[in-house]
Formats: sequence, C-alpha cells, structure tokens
Amino acid sequence: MAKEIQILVFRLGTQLWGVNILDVNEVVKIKLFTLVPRAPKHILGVFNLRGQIIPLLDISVILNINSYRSYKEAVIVEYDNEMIGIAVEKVIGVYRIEESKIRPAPSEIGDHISGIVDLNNKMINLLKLERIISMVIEDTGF
Amino acid sequence: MVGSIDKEFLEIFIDETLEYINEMEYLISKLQEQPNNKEIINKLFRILHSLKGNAATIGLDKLAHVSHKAEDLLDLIRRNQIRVTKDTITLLYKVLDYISKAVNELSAGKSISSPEEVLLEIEQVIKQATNFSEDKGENINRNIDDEKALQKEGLLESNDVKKMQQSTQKYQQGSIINNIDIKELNEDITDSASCLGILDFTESEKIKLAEAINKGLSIYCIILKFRDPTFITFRYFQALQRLGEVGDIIKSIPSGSDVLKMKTDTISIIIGIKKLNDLKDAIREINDLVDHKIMRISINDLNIDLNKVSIDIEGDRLSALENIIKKIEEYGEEHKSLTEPEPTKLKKLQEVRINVRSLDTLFNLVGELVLIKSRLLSLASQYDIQSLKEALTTFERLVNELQNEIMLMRLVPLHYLFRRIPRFANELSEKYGKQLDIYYEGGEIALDRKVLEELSEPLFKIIEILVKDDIEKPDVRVMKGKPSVGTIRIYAYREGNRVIITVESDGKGLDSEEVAKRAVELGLVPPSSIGKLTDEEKLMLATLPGFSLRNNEFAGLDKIKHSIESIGGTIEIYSKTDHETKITFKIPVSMATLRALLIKLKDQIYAIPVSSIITTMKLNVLNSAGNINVIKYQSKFVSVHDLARILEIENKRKNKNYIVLIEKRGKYIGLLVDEILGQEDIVVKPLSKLLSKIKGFSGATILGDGKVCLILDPISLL
Repeated sequence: MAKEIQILVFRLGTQLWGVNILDVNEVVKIKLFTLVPRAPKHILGVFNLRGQIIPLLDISVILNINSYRSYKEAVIVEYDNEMIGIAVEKVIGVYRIEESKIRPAPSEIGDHISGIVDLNNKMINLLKLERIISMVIEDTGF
Repeated sequence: MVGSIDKEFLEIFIDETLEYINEMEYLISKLQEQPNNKEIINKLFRILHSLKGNAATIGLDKLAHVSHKAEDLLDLIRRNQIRVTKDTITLLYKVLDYISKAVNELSAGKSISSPEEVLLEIEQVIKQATNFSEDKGENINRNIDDEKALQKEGLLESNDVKKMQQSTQKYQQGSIINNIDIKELNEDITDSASCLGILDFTESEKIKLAEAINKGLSIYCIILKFRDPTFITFRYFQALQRLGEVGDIIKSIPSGSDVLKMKTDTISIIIGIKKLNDLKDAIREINDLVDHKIMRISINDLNIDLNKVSIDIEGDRLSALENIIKKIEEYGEEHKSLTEPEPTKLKKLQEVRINVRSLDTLFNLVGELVLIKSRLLSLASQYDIQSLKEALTTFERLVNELQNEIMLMRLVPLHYLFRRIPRFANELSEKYGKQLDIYYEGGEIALDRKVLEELSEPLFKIIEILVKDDIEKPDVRVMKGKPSVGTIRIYAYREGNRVIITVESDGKGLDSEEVAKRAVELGLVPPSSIGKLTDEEKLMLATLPGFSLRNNEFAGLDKIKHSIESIGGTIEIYSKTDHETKITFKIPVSMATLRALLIKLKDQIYAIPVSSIITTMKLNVLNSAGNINVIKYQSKFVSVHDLARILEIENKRKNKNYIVLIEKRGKYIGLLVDEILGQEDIVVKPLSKLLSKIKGFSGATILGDGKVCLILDPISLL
C-alpha cells in the first residue's frame, strides 16, 4: 500500500496551504487577542489559551502573500517547548494524501514550502512549519 | 545503546545524577578546605559508588567505568596513600566535569563521549601512589576488601539492582570468615520449634532479605518470651521499635496484624543487623522479658535461593522497579501502623519527585482560579446575592491558601547557586592570577526556582568581573599595604518580598569621576549631562550598554543589569576607591503575583506595577517647556510623555486626562494615559520567547474577561 500522510488544509489569502497533522496540537477559534505594541508585523498579538499566553503569528508576512487579514482560527503548534498560534482565515479540513503524489516545489518559491500536492484539482502548498517559525525567530532577533 | 534504555528509567537516572553532581561539587569544595576530613571523603566515595551502580544497571558503561576509577582514587585518599593536594582536587573536578558532560549528553539524547582522557589521568595518579606502596598484595585484593569495609561501615546503599546480584556472591565469600566469630551462636535453627514457620518467606520478605544481605547485614533470628501475655501487643510494638533502630526487621511472627488477635507470649523475629552488640543492647532494653534467644542464620540455612531472587530482578527491570516500590509502600505502612518511624527513612517517603512542568501547569491553573475568583466576586456584588458572597469569602480564602502553598513549592534555597561559588572562584583566581578568599552566607534564603535560574548568570558574571577587574594582583596589593589575598563576600538576606544579594570585594574600586569621564569619552552620554549627576548616578553609567574602562575593564555590567531587571529586580553599585566595591541585587522572591494599576490606552488595558508608581493625577494644565511637556509635582518639574507615542500606538483620542507618575532609577516621569481603571492583584505570566526581545513589557496577565493584558516595565519602556 502506498504510504499516506494526513494534512490539515487551511486558507490564507487566495491560496490553500497544508501542514502535516502531526505538527498540529489543535485548532482554536480566535475570539479575542491583544495587540502587542512595538511587535514586528508578523506578530498579530497574544491570546489566552487555557491560562497560557500564546503569540499569534501572521505568516502571510513571512510567506510574502496577500491575505484578507480576517483571521478566524488559529492552528496551534509546538516549537521549542512553547506553543505558538498561526492565524488562518479558514480551516478547510484534514485530508489523507499519498506521499508519492507530493511534487517538489519550484526552488524559486523559497525553502519554506516542502512540496505541492493536488487535492481535487486544487493546489495545496505544503508548509515547512519549523522553517517558517525559525524564520520568524531570526526576524524577531531572538 | 542509549535507545534501548527505558526512557523513564533514564530520566530518573539523570535526575538523581544531577543531584549527585550538585552534592559532589559541594563536597569537593569542602574537601579543599579540609583535606583531611575523612567524612567528606567517605561521602564522596559513597556517591561515586551509587553512581557506579546506577550507571551499570542501565548499561552506561563509560560512566560506570569513570565512577569506578574515581572510587579507586578516593579509596587511596581514604587510606592516606594519596594526599589531597591542589592536583587531586583538580582531578576530582575533572571527574565531575566528565560526569556533568555525560549527563548533558544523555539528556540531549546523544551518546556519551569517550572517558579516555580522564581515565588516563586518574590511572596515572593511582599508579604513582601505588608505586610507593610496598604492599602489592593489598592492591590486588583491594576491591574485595573495599566492599567488605563498606559493608562494615554500612556505607553500601542498595539502590540499584545489578549490584544486588554481585554483592550477594561477594557476601557469601565473606560470610565464611564471619561465621567463625559467632560460632557460639550458630545453633541449628531448624530444630527450634518455637519459631515454626519463621523461615518460610513470602516474595516480599525474600526481597527484604536479599536487600539486607546486600547491605552487608548479618541475618539473625530472635525469639523473645514475655512474662505476661496481657500486655503482649504493647510489648511487641516496643520491641519492634527498639530493634528497628539497630537493624532491618525482615519479618516477625506473629505479624503486626495478627498480634492483636493472638494470645501468645512468644515472638520470633528475623532481623538483619550490623553489629551483634547493638542487638544485645537493644534486647536488654526491652521490658518484661523472661527469656530470649539469639541465633545467627547462615545464608545456606535460609530456604531461599537468593540468586534466584536477584536474577528475577535482573531479568525484568520493570518488575524490579515495581517490587521496590511495593517494598517501600509495605515498609511505610508497616512502620506507620506499628511504631513511630525512623525519621530519616520516613523522610524519603514524604518526598515525591514532581516534574517541573507539572508544577508549572499547576501554578497556571491556580492562577486561573484566582482570576475566576475575582470574576465571581464582582458578579456577586453586582447582583448582591448575600449567600453567594458568604460562600465566596471561604472560596477566596481557600484559593489564596492554595496559591500560597504552590508558591512555596516552587521555592528553592540559594544554596543551589552558592554551592558552585567556591569552585568557580578557584578557577577564576587561577585564570586571572589573583589570590582570593571567598565567603558567602544566606544560602538558606529561598527563591522561586525561575528567579533562581535567571539569577545564576548575573551572579557568576559579577563575581568574575570583580575578580578580574577589581581585585589587584598580589604584589600590587602588598604595595598598597593590603593583604595579598583579596576577599569577596557574598551575602543574601530577605527584606519583605525581596531578597537582597550583595557581592562585595576589597579591590581597587570604581571611581565615579572616572566612570563618568569614560562614559562621555565613549559617547554614551552627552558631556553636559554629567555635571548634575550624583556619585551613585555616575557609577550607574557603568551599566550602560557598551561601557568599559580602559583594557575592557568592568565591561558587561549592562548585561548583568538587564538580566536582573528581567526578573523584576534592580541593581545598585557602591564603591570606595581602594577600599570596597559593592554590587547589590534586589530581586523579588517570586515573580508570581504583582499589585498593579490597570490603565486604558486606545481601548486596550495595560498593567503598571504599583511598586514603580509614585502617584496618579488628573491632568489640569500641561506646561510646555520647549517641545517637552512638564508638570509640577512637589515643587519639582517632571517631564510628561504620551504613553501611546512611547509604545508607537496611533491614538487619536484627544482627551488624555490622566497622568501616572512613575519612578525610573530615582527619576520621576509622567505617563499620559486615557483612563485609570484601578488596582488589582495580577498573576504574572511570562511572554513567549518570540516576544522577549520587544522592550517595554515584563510579562502579561489574564484579566477577568479572559483577555490578555500586557504588563508595562517602566525601566525598559523608556
């Protein structure tokens, strides 16, 4: 049998994006969040997740794409023992894909995309979350 | 190899070894002060012995090997074949370094690096020492002697499983010799009818037995006959208590629960003891005794196969662990139900290892409870429900108690940091060619473990700066008429909710004029601003980023200041040229809760710690002096800044009506805000690491409505 992985697909801007479900802790609705003055553009703010204070990232800044900036949900991931929320416009769902169907991304897109997969005639860009977050960290100077 | 070790097992090992490292560090530094103190050497020996056993149990051969060699080294020290010199201490530190490195590698999931270097060094020292020793036979038999010596002193701990197996065999060799000494007592126990069934052991008793033998205890059967069966229960407990003080009780007939039902005047006890005389003394102290019998039981007479017991354990580590836990539980229950337990043994049972992470989670949850509490309180007063209010009063008290208790759980004594000082000082004095005496006190003062963690770096850095740049070289000191050995004193004490830690040295000192001149020279402050500063303010210029005196002296104070401030502390510098230099840290015991003033700015609420607020006031007239706004407060002019502008927030609201007057390093500054909401106790939570580089915030808290509120840090704000 072909090797399958599960991906969480969400919409950000005009495109669909996917992350490996194993990298995702949970998905939560964004109700309230607090702006952090002086924060770089890719940090939308902080919010309360069961008593923990979690930064909310706007990765459209990092991906250099246009988004509608109407964030409704956050994909919670863990990085370096800390939880981080990635703001998305809409979570579409979880899908099973065959690993062999993932095509490599053109190199000019950048190294934050691990591959592209076709799902019901829609292109989904698979994100390298770790790379993106480390880019954020470099950018923040931490 | 590492992969095959049970992860949980490894975690326990790492935890324990870290404790050992801490203890060893302390002991080695003590040994340096008292090179002839046998007790310290024995303690070190024992730690290495345990470490060796533990490491061998989980297959960490390199670590086991190094511990074993170090143990040999200590043994030679103990026998006065190696003297404790500076080189010996350095070597011991090298061993310690290797062990710490290995543990770090283990926790990082890497494999342990080769111990060859450190082994070689130990080997050399041992070889030198043994060459002097003429008695070569002794050296060959050393290991066996050693175990026996340990057994006699009762130093052997049986906390690992593999060792059990090894030393049971060793014991059997040794017991032949011992048997001669107690020949008179060696009656044939199986003939004695009064202890029928005493030699039938249950599984748990077999483990106890194996453990006792492994500890090097000799096994005896005691039969006690009392005068009057009426008081037997009481006498029974008394006897067990007294005997428990001199040895490990393995079983008794009747058992603790049976004695209440049975009317008998005779008790049989199996006990493992170190010295026969102790046992005899103990029996003499038991009241109401008509007759007693003491019988030595040789291992061969026991109906159990000890090897089988230990092989079972070796074969299945998990079940071994379970057995040990069961044993501890049984032990605890037995002793609880019988008599007053031995304090040292019970202490172990009263302490439980808690993962730091779950402690943090608990702490977070209690923080949430505190928030819910205030939400409920405000609801109760809003709807004015009397019965709810009453219930909430109790609830409030309980939550406060809970919060306090958890806060206490997180406190760790300063010892953990201070213990590392002597060694660090040694390295420094060697590195910089200074002679140094270092004293510290106040190690018993406890701080939140997070604060303690953060304190480590600035504290050690400041010691290094003082040794390097303040204490003069010995010849210079002599020329100045000072003792050639410099002194550094570190003392800590508690003052309210803060801990004051002072580091003081008697070196050449910092001259405030020189600092000010240098700061101007480096372009850190405009020359015009110097004139007005006090001496203390001038000294504080040394904490500006980029500051150093010539030859890079006193560089890095800015980093220290930053670390201290990040845990909510402050730093003060005092110096008298050629007399003393004193750096004082004032840090909060816990970063947990804070009294804060809540203010509003462009529809978002911020908290300002009350500790840095002087007063608040309504704005009437704002005077402009040039382009700086000023107000008059207690006949002083204070500059006023728009908080929104400082925070780079667009705020078009015109009616900023309030001023919060804060103090920043002795200077008053007014902050213009939209609204003042009132004071509240807030639970401080750390901001994500992602946000740690953003200046102006010391953390965040969660408000009653669940929204996150940022805590302003006046010091890094401006």
